Amino acid sequence: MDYDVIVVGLGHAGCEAALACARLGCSTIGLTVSMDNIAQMSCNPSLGGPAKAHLIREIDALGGEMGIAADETFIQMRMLNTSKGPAVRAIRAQIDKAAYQTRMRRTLQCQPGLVVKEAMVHDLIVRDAKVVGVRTDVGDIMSEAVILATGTHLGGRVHMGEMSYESGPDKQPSAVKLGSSLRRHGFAMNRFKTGTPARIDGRTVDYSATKIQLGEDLPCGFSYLGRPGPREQIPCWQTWTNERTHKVILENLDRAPMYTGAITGTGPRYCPAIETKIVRFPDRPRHQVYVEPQGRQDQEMYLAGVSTSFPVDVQEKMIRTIRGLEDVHIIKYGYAIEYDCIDPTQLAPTLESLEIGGLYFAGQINGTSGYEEAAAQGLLAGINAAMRIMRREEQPLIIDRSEAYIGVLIDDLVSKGVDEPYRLMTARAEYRLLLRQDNADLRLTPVGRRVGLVGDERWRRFSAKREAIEAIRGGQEVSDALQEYADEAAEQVEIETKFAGYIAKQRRQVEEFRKLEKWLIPQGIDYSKLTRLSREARERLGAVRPLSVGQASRVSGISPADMMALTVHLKEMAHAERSGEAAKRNG
Amino acid sequence: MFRGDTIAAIATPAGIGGIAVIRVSGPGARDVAERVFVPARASSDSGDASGLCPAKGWVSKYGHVYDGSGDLIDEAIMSWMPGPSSYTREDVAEISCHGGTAVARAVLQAVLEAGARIAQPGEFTRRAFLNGRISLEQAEAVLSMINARTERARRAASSFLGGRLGAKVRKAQETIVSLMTLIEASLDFPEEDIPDVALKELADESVRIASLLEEAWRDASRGRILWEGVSVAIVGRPNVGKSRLLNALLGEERAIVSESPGTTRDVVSEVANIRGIPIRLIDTAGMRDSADPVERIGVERARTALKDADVALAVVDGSVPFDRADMEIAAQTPGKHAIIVINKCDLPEELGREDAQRIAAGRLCLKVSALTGEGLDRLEEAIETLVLGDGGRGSNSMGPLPAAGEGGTWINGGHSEIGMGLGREGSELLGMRREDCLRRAASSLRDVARGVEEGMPPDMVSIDLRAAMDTLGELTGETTREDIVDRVFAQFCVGK
Ligand SMILES: Cc1cc2nc3c(=O)[nH]c(=O)nc-3n(C[C@H](O)[C@H](O)[C@H](O)COP(=O)(O)OP(=O)(O)OC[C@H]3O[C@@H](n4cnc5c(N)ncnc54)[C@H](O)[C@@H]3O)c2cc1C
Ligand SMILES: Nc1nc2c(ncn2[C@@H]2O[C@H](COP(=O)(O)OP(=O)(O)O)[C@@H](O)[C@H]2O)c(=O)[nH]1
Repeated sequence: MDYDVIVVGLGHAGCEAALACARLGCSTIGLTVSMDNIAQMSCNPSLGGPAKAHLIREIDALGGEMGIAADETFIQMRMLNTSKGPAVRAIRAQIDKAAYQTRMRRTLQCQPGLVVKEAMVHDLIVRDAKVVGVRTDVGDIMSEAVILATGTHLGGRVHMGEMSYESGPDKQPSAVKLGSSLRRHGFAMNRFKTGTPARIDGRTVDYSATKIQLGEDLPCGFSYLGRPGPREQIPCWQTWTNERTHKVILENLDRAPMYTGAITGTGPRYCPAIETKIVRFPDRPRHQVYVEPQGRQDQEMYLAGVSTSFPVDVQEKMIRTIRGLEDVHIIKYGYAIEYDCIDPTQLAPTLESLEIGGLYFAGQINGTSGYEEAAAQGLLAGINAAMRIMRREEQPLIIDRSEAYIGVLIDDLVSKGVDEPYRLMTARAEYRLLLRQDNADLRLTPVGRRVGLVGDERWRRFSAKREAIEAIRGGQEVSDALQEYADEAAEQVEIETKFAGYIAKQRRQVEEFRKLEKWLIPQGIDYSKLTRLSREARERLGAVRPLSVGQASRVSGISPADMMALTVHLKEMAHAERSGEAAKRNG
Repeated sequence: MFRGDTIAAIATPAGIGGIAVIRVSGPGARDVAERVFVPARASSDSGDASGLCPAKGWVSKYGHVYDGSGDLIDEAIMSWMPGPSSYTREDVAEISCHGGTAVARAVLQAVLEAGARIAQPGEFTRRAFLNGRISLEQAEAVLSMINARTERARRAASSFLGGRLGAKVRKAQETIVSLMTLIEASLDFPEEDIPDVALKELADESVRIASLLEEAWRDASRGRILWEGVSVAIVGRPNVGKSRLLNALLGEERAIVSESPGTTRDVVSEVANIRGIPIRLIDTAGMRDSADPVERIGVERARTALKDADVALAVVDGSVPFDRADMEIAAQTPGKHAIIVINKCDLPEELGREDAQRIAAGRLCLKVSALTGEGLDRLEEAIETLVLGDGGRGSNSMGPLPAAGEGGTWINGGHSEIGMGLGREGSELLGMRREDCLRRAASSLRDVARGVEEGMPPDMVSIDLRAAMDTLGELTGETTREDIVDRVFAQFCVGK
């Protein structure tokens, strides 16, 4: 065995996974197609927003890296939803794309116990339903566990107008062999699609025709490790499409791969290409476009809102109809990419494959989309892979829907599955009011400490904040030593008091929810024998293998009657066991 | 194996709902089915040599039901489930016809004429149990599942929502879902061109829908009497122990028990499980003339409750001397359906034997202690006899036939074996749940309005709106969290 853990892919998922494993004491190797795409933001150079900022805070609270790296490298930061209540308040930041990548790469390279290597993984080495290593273009590497975090590379195919070719994002190679290897190992796959807009030369934008959007001086950043250092913030610029833009688009629909049938993968509804927006919302007179800087040292600007896969001449024509962009120079054209991902219901809530031991999946390969979603999964997969190796006697880390957005995300994936690229939203969280970005540390830092990712400094800060909260709750002055935390602590107490009624309601809902979550299903259960269940239910439950009755109830395709039959069966089993034991005792 | 005669009952609650199922179980089920049901296009089914009711395997056939004189009653689907692979392990035939009381009763009548007898409540389940088909635990699990406040049983309930009530509820739900979509879109996509939620309008809408639901709730409780089953009114002078008796029969603390007369101001009504029969117990305000207007209303309601009830328990305090009022109250109870309950038999007896007999005037008279539970067994037995015996049935507000046999279709519209174990209890609980849902949803909506008034931000207010939506969803089986996400994407152009 060469390493404890191999992490395949060093995107946002892979970085968190590799760091977590190494920090928990596993000898770890991270493989990437290219050292240049580590922690790459292949789409907008921004992090955060509702649900996503929440995720970053949760990652941070558990001892992950994303929040710290973002705080070091942001070039603009704002607080969204300030008037809509504490549950949905969310930080959003423009990130210096190159700086972020450099920062992450350095972190990986400085991490004891972790090495990285450029290698293209072609195949898994599996023995006795357990993964033991990977085959790469530079030889076999053996390990106890493998985390696949290959993003959009599997079977990647790029579309731009009439052009279409095998490729990963940003002209990186497509991982064709690994995709077929997964199929061969029996994984059911989905084919999804996503797209990205053109990047333009910032010098060719007429900013006077756009609306400026400035950053804010916030008292906090993403990370709980302290307020980010002060810096000059860079503005974004807002403009809009217009009738002329829409005309160009409608006239050229026959050249849009989205509409010619060239693209068959399912795209995300929340990130539609501009051509889709025009077709689906014909009444909208205009759509907003943001010109977002990609970094301090970069003239390349990102054009948020006009993701497209039109051919280059149409892209040129279309973009130039937009106010302020009449004379724009395009550096990189937009494109759509189709890729394979696995059906995530084949995973346990630990993100480990149900079929192949030691094999974990994280990030876009699970059908999600978004940097934060990827990082969150990477962290969880990393923790669980490490625990599997280092601490077999302990329970793996499973976070439930009432504890964190991470729990909502993973439960949605493994219980319900996905039929389009999955993006987290606050609307997906039943207990939104309890899962705020302001209390992620209170929710999760003790968990991270127990796992072993929360270092002493973070723990000290956390304890100090908790102390300050206690003081304010008790009506005392916050001591001088804790002044740094006074504001945050006061905010906590204020939220607790002001919204006490609502918080109590949600807590009651959580109690209800936990009842079914705590009703565990024995894992050896053979669903095919439960003839009272509908055939579909038997198949679905057999595939998903829910841990609890609560999880079973969320599996798609399970009817009320199925749930009833299942619970009856579980009671029977428990009963039989009891009487069996009684018989043993008596006999 | 337990071998009984052939029993039949309407397996779906009467009155509301699109489909009624008449279930027949027993050795004569085949004969009965073949007598009343004629499959359509029988000739083209020539490959089917086993006929209408094969000895093995379940079949479902479309056709028509005829009565004894050969007149067409209705078109129907007949499902044949030969023993032992049926719910009761006996031969079972289920005839699904159009809902509506008249049709269902006509079909049942035809089935009875063809040789079945009317089933007693719980009889199908009893047979299933006797034949080892299900365990006691199973029945429990089934019931607890209905009780579980989960997304599930609602689909069931939705079958009650076919009518006017259903339309009302669905409209309310639709409005709530639209409001929810607006809120969620604005909360999750602050950077898009989405208008912020107009909280004032949200509050007004919420109040409007709340009233609508409250109205539906009142309708529902009215309609429920049609099919719900047996109600037992508890009457008596103040302080004789009515509330305590109700609690004792319920097995839990519900009505207020106090030392000062007249505390049970309003009618308290709960469903107790008495010997497997769900029975609605109605505790009435102490019947006496009172100057307190609130109490007077209570007394008025007590009289109405008494009039509507199927059985009356006239409670008399045995630890105090005879009072004419006891006799008057007892006299108001309709003769043969009343039981005179002499309570507090744990205390020294003050009410003489003759006095008791005077009050009872020939009706059944039992001594109990609501406090110690003494005599409650016999009381329950007496109630069961009254309800199941001829006396109870004749007075039933549902008419001569029991409205609900064994619940069946409510689970998934059909022949899910497990779904058949609900019986009367199932329909009863569903009825109550329906009202409960309406009430809870209305109250959540009022909370929405209150929250807005108190200046709460949309994320808070959304909790109550969501609760209202989920509660109605329980009822109609429609609209999940995922639907809101879908709607956000359908209605708003979001994302970069
Ligand atoms: C064109 C495009 C547009 C997008 N648009 C959006 C958007 O609008 N909104 C949004 O939220 N998200 C968008 N995303 C998604 C977002 O970029 C991803 O969800 C996120 O980066 C996924 O992170 P990841 O860690 O799973 O994978 P990635 O960041 O893609 O990283 C994959 C890693 O795996 C490595 N790798 C792949 N195959 C192999 C192999 N066989 N052997 C070795 N290494 C391998 C790569 O070198 C890379 O390091 C877009 C992505 C793309 C490509
Ligand atoms: N000793 C005794 N006290 C009883 C019994 N039943 C009720 N009580 C008491 O009588 C009082 C009146 O009871 P309550 O149920 O409120 O009477 P209600 O006004 O008829 O509803 C309470 O103090 C009860 O605790 C009984 O069987 N034995």
